[in-house]
Amino acid sequence: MLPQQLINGLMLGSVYSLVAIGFNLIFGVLSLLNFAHAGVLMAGAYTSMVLISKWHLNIFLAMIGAMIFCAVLGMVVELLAFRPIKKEYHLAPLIATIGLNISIEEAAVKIFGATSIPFPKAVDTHILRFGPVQFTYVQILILGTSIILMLALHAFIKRTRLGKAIRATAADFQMAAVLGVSIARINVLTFVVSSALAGAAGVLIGLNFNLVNPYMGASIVLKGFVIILLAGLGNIYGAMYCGVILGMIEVLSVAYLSASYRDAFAFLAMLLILIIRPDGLFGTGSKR
Amino acid sequence: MKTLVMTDVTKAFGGVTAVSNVRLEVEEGRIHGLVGPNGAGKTTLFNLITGVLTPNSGSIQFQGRNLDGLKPHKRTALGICRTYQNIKLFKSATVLDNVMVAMPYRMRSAILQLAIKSPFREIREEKEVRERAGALLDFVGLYEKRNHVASALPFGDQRRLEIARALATKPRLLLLDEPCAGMNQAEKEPMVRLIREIRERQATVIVIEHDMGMICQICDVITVLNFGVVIAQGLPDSIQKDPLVIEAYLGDEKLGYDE
Amino acid sequence: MSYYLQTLLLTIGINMILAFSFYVPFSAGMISLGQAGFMAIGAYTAAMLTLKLGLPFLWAVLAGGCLSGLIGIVTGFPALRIRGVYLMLMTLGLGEAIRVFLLNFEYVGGVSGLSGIPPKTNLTNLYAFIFLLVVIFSRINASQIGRIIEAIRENEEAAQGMGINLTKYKVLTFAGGAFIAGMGGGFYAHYARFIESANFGIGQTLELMIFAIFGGTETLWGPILGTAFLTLLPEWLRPLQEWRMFMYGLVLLAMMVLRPKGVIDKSLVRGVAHKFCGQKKND
Repeated sequence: MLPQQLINGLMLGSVYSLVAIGFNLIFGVLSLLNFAHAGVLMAGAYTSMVLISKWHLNIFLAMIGAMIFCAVLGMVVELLAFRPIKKEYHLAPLIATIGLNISIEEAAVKIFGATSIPFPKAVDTHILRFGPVQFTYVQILILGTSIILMLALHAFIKRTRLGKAIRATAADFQMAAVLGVSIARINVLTFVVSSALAGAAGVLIGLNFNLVNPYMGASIVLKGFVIILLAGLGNIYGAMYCGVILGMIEVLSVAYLSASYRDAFAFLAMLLILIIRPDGLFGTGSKR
Repeated sequence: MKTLVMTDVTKAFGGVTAVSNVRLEVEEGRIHGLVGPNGAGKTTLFNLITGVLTPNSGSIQFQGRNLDGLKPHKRTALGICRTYQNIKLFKSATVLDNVMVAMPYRMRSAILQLAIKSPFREIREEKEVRERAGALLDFVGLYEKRNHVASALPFGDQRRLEIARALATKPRLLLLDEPCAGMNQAEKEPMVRLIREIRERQATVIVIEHDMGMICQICDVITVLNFGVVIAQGLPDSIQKDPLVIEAYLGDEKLGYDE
Repeated sequence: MSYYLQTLLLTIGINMILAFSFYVPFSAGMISLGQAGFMAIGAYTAAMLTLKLGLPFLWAVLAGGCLSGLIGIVTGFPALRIRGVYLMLMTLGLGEAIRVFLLNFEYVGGVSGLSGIPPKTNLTNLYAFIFLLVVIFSRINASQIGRIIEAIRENEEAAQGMGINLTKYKVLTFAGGAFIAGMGGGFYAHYARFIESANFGIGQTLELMIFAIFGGTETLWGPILGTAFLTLLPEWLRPLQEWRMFMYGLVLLAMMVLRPKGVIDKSLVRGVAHKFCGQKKND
C-alpha cells in the first residue's frame, strides 16, 4: 500500500512541481505573483481537450498545441498586466493579474459552460505492474512528461545564453541590464516558458482527474504559492522538490488521515515548516 | 565623564568576525571620528551601539549604564540615535512628518486618549511638537521645504533631514554614518558647520567618514579601525602620521584629502 | 426602500468593514491574508452568543470582535519577525486553520453550519459602526500615532532607530485588523442568518484584499470607496449578462494599470480636501 501511495504522490507532486516552477520563475525574474497562472493552466487543459475531441490529435500533439497556446496567452498576460505598470508598484500587478485571471476564467465559462466536462479518452487504460506497485499509462505519461519538461528547463537555464540571461535577471536585474540584457525580452521569455509549463500541467491534470472546469487552476496555483514559499522564493530547483513533497503529503494524508483535511493539511504542514525554517527548505536567506 | 565605553566588544557572523575586541571610549561633548577602509567594521560598531546587533562578547556602557540586552528603541529613549549610510528616510512622508515622528511624545502611549475625544489637549501638544520640529528643520536649513515629500528632496537635503530627524529624539550621543558620502567639497562645508553646531548643543558625536581631511578638521579624537580591530587611536595629528594607519589606507584609499 | 437596495447596501457595508480590516495592518506594512479567519471567529462567536445565550445583538458582535482581537494579539507576536510574502503565507495558513477548525467543531454546527441567526443587522447599526471607524481612524491617521504607523511601513529599521517600539505598534495594528474583521463577521452573521465555514475561506480573503488595494491603501477612503465601487460594479454590468464577470475582470485590470496606487491616493484626498474644506489641516 505505501509504495503505491508514494508513487501516486510522486505523480501528483510532479505536476505540482511544473506549476510551482513556472510560478517561481516569474516571481524570481519579475518579482510578481502571477495569479493569471491559474487561467493559463486551465486554458492548457481546455485547449488540449478541444484539440483531441474536435481535431482528433493524439495526446502528444495536443499537449504541444496546448503549450503553444498557453505560451501566447502568457505573452498577453505580460503585455496587459505587467508591462504597463511601473516596477515600483508592488501590489498593482498582482491585482491586475487577478483581474485578468477572472476574465480568462469567465471567457472559458462563456465558451464551454461553467460545469465540469470530462476529459476525452486519449490514452489506453492499460496497467503495468511492477511488484507491489502499478502504473496506468496515464500515470506514466504524467511522470514522463514532467520529467522531460523539467530536464528541458534545466538544460535551458543552465546551458543556453537565454537561460543564463534569465538567471542573471533574477539575481540582479539592474546589473543584468547594465550588462546588455534586454530586460523586456527576458520578461516575455520568462512568461512564455512559465505559461507553457502551466499549460502542460493543465493537460496532465485533466488527464489525471479526467475532468476540467473553468476554475480548476485556482486551487492549484494557491498550492503553487505555498510551494514556492516553502522552496525559497525564486528557487526553481527547490520548487521542483517541494512540489513533489507536497504531492506526497497530500496523498499520504488522504490515505492515512482524513480526506476533508487534505487542503488544510498541506497549508498547516507548510506553515509549520516555515516557522522552523523561515527562509524555506531550500531558501538562500536572501530577502525578496 | 565618558559618554560611551565599549570594552572588548566582538561580533562575528558565522565564520566572519566583523569586529574583534574593540575598545572605544568617547568623552562627553566631543566629536569623535571613526575611520577605516571599507569593511573595517565601522557600521557594525554603530549597529552594536544602537542595539540592532548584539555582541558575542564584551560590554557597552552608555553614561555609566550597561546596555546589555536593551532593545534599540529603548536605547533611543536613553539618548542614543544614529543616521544611516544609505539614508533611511520615511520616503513618502513629508519632511515635517519625518522629524515629528521621531519626537518622544507623551501622546504616543496614550492611544486610549484618542478614543476618549479630548481634542483640546491633543491640539496643544501637537502644536508644541510641530513648533519644535519646525525649529529643528530651521536649524538644518530645511524649514521652507517642510511640506515637501521626503523622496522629492535633493540628496544633500535628504542627509540633512536625517540629521534633523535624529536630533528630534533629543540624543545625548549622535552617531553619524558617513554624513558627507557622495558630496563634493562645496556641499561638505555646511555639513561641517552643522556638526560643530550640534556639538555646541551638548550632544556627543561619533562620525564615520572617509574624508580624512574633514575628519581631522572637526574631530577631537579619532579611532582607526581595520579588519574589525582598532589599530590606532588619538589626536588627529598623531593619527595622520601613524604608520599603521597609512599602511591600512594605502591598499584602499589615499590618505589625505578626499575629492 | 426596496428590499434589493437594502440588501445591496448591507452587503456593501459589511464588505467595507472587512476591507478596512485589511487596510489597518497594511498601513503598518503587514499584508495579512487571514482576515477571513478572524471574520469567522467574530461571526460564530456573535451568533452563538445571540442564539444560545440570548445576548443583545451589539454586545454579542462586540464580544466577537474582542475575541478576534485577542487572537490577533496572540498571533501578532509570531508575525512580528516575518516579512512580506512570508507573512502572507502565514496569515493565509492561519485563516485556513481557523476555517478547518470551525468546520470540525460540532458545537458550533460543524459541517452543517449555524442557522437561525436573528436578523439584527440593519443599515443603522452597520453604518453607524462604519462611521465610527472612519472618524476614529481619521483622527489616528492625523496624529502622532498615524505618523508612527507610516514610519513603520516605510522603514522599520529607521523607525526603531528613532525610538519607535515596533512590537507594540505592529501587534496593535495586527490585532486591530483582527478586531475589525471580527466585528464585520458579527454583522455578517446577523445579516446572512446562516453561516458555515465555507463562507470564510481564501476566496473571501482575496476578495477583501482586492477591494482594499483597488480602492487604494494610502488613505482610509480607498478601502471604503473601493469596496463600494467593486460591490456595485457587477450590478452596473448586469446588462452585459454572461459577459458581466468577464468585464469585471477587465475593469480590475484596467484600473490597476491606470492607477497603480489604487483609485484613491493621498494626493487625490488632499486635492479634494483642499477644494471643499478650504484650509488644510497641515499648515
